[in-house]
Amino acid sequence: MSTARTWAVALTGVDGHLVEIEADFSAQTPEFTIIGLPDKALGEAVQRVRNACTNSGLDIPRRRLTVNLSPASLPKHGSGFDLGIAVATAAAGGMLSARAVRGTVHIGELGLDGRVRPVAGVLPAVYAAARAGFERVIVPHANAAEAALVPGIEVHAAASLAEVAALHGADVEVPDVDAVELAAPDEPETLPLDLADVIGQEEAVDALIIAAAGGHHMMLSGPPGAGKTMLARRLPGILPLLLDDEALEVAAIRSLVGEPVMKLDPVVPFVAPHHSASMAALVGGGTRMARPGAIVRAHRGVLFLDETPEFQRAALDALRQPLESGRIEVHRAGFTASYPARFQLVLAMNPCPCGNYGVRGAECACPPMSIRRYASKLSGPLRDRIDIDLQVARVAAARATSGERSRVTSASARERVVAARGAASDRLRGTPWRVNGEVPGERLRLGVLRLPATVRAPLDRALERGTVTLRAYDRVLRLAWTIADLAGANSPGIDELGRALFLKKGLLA
Amino acid sequence: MLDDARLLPLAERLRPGGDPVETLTRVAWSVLVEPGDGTAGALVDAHGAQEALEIACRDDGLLTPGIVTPAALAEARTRWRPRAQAQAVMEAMTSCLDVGGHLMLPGDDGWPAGLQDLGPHAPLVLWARGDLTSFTAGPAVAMVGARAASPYGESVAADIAGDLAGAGAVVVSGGAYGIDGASHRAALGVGGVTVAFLAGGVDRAYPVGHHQLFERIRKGGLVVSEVPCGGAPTKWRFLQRNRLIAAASLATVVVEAGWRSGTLNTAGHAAALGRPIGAVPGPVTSAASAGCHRLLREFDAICVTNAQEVRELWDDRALDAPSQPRVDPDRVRLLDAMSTRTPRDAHDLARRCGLSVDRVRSLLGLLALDVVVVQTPEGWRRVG
Amino acid sequence: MAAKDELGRAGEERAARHLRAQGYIILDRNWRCRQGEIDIVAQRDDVLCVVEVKTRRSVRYGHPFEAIDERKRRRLWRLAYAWTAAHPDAARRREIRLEAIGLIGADADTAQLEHLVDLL
Repeated sequence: MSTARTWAVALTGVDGHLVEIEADFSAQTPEFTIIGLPDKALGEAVQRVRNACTNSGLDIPRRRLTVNLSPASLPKHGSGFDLGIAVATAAAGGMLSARAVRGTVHIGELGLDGRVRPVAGVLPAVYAAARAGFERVIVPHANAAEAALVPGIEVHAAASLAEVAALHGADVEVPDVDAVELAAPDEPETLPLDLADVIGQEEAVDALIIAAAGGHHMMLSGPPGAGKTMLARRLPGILPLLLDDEALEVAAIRSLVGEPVMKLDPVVPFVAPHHSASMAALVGGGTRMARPGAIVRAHRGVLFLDETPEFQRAALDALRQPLESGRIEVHRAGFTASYPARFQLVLAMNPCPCGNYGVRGAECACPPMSIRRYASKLSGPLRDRIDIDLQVARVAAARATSGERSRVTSASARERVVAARGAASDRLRGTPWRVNGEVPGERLRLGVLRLPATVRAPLDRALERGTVTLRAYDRVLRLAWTIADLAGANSPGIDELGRALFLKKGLLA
Repeated sequence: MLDDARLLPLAERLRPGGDPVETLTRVAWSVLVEPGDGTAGALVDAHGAQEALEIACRDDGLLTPGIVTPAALAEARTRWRPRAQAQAVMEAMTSCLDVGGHLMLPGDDGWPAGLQDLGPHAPLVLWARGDLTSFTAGPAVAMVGARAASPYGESVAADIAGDLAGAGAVVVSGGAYGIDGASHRAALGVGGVTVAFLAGGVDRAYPVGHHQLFERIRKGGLVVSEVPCGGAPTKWRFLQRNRLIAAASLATVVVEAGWRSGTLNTAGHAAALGRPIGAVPGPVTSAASAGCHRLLREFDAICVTNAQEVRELWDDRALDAPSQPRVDPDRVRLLDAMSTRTPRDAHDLARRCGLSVDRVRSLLGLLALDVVVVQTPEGWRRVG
Repeated sequence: MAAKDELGRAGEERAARHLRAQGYIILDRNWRCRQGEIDIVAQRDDVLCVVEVKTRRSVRYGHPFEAIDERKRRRLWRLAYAWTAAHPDAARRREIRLEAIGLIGADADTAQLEHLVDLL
């Protein structure tokens, strides 16, 4: 009785680890055991592999089969190991070349009928295989497109176990099967959204550009129909395009979520979960496997929480960790998965529960208590992270339907944003931060970035008087630097300070 | 008090070409009051010297209301009564004439106009020896400082005073040892004009050691005092003459002064009069400069290191260079366009005041910080 | 006798023949006790072998060896100890081993025979 080995990939977060699959038959009564910390789904591989082998014409010896997944201490999840286990088993049983399978990575779930079914996370898995130096990987047919996005590795798409076995020299008939396909993506291809579509909101457009240039988190406040969503949706269009490795990371996350990935998208992701979404949908976690949620899908992009006060308190609190560290941890029974989650946050809320407070020509029916309570649903720590507080007002109907277009296009805005970000990253070279929105207050108040006293004077006076908090002070400084970057100035002057103050109203907050 | 017939001719000699009655009356006032007597000044301003003198010498009498309170007048009369001696008036005049001195009255050609900024505390007369046109020879600048000056201080005083006088300024000081003396000497040395204000009468050299200096000053300038000849330089009179030094000049420069120096008193007068104050810095280890440093920090004094910078103290163009933030004229324009009742948005305001929208937003941000304006959902308005 | 039993009996015959051909000495056949039945007890070298024989017509209902699960094996061990207790002389100082013979085919004589030595 013999042993055979092949390779598969286990995922923790977005990172893949190579797993060696060892299959060994011993002269004992038949039993099929998988060891190496498999989860429940993996444990069920026994049934799938057995049936799939039989149905593929692979006669597995009726002996005790032990399959070991190493490294033994790494927890392994899901059904993506099926193909590798079947192949190793068949090789150990002498049905195909053990040598051939030794150097190949196999990824895929097996149906009882022997078809190779798609799994989530093929892209990061293939990426890990390529990084580890493997030259060949076999993936389910439905995941072939995403696997092909990874450079430097040969990808074979397989529709059935028989096909794979034959590839490795087995004497089996390869049936003509309909490959299992992934469900078509939910969202239809949308037209690109342009900033020029927004009319009559110059101040808001300006603020959006500033938010983009400095990576500042933003709150849009205004009545329904004012255009908050319209603005938020245009933010990705003015943020710098993703570099190849960044786009690959974003695609890897989409793959992990189970979305079909056909190509690399250079535009940053835009994720807008509904306020009724569950914690799992927002943060991540499935019943058995840790599946990343909306927060992770927004990595390197924009997370838009429309009607922010309607979100569960716990959900808003969950934002704190990623806003702080750029990562989020999802805890499941027995293990913790850590995902990257560095995004730009856009919150939106009505001025009051009924939406009419402060709207010209509208009557607000809310009692003052409920307006205050509504506004206070946002916790202090979350509010503190918001650099820009923008009031969005409804545009007069006549203007809205006039067909007039703003002069600012997304393309021109993006150019400005890229230039401003370039200036900022030059200045921040050697520090852990890349955009102004990330720089902590002390760095701006002290050290080389400290502004001259004459420029700081009005802010300093206000701080002494107690009309601004220290956090507000820091926010104004951050914004002033971004405004200076956009204007091409070396450092902020009193004008930029004034502009920054204009953007951050509600200074006591 | 003025009945003696010999008095008028003396007055005539004391102030040739002037109204002898006025001269005499003013002499009487000079004898009656201590320098800086506000009641006297107010009375004289309101009634003229002669009628005021009558009022002063009466026991009672109707007063134009609002000038001086009855209580103040009563108290003043008590002060003045002991001094209302006819003999004193005579002596004042003769002692001055004996040393070749004259009397200057406000409004006379050579009278330093700046003194009138003192209001009711302005001197009623100036007893003077020397060139009566000295004050009008050029812009007057006060150079003051410690008596116990260091060689550094005297050297700097001399440099600056010399340069100033050389450029045509009139160096005004107090004739004391130290900085004062160095300043006077330097001005004289370049053939310039210098004026010394004394605390006592102009017939006596005080300090005695400057006897010859005063002689030279009388030739190249003027020695003046508020106090009649024979008068002693009391502490009060020293302090009062400091105010004259400050008021008579366009700016006051403190060259060297200790932390509690009397010179700071002069600077204080200058500040009260709105005169620019210059201070010369020195080593931080030098106690002799501590007062100057204090002036720079606490009294808005401007650091000066040479005559040119001293000139800039009163030169209008230089004064506008911002070492302090000045009020932005755009700010005023914007506020003018805003209402305390009607909120307006940034665009509207920009149109109204003719500034760019960006500038308006920036100004609104700064004004909001100082709670001068406030934003409502409908727009911006001025805080009422 | 039912057809199944016939096949079973025929299978056991075949198994015994196979063992003898391998050099085993058959010590006992179909030994019964309260705990069950041992198909064949044999001896080879100095080792006592308790052999379970399973016959199937085809693998349609599972491979014969799949019937020898954990529970079955434990029972076989108990039976083995019971036999040695009943036959002290034969068992004296001899190692005990479990074995299995599986036959697949409708005809026992031509059936595919598999022999597992030393079961756990």
